[in-house]
Amino acid sequence: GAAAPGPSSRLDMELNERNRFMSDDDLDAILPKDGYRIINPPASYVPI
Amino acid sequence: MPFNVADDDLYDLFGKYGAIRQIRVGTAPDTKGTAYVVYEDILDARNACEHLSGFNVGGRYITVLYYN
Repeated sequence: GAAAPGPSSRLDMELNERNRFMSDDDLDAILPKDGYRIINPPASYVPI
Repeated sequence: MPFNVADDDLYDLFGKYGAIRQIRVGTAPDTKGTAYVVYEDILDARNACEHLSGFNVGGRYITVLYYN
């Protein structure tokens, strides 16, 4: 995904690192892949 | 889950409960009719679980299970 706006201080970076969200690879590791299709959010999708 | 639920419907239905990280839809004969919905936040997932379990989608009831 797009990189989040750059953290300024070292603390931010560290926080971000520990709190980084799960990447697609992480998800692939825990969810079944074969027999499944990952669908794309509709253009109008706005996460609440 | 009924087979004819369109991708957008899934996002509409599940998106009400929180930011969706990813949705995987079963396409193979043995996975058709099932889907994995990943939320950014575990609380949203639980919220969705509580509200959607037994919900009627397109004429068929959906069962919502935690995947862990």
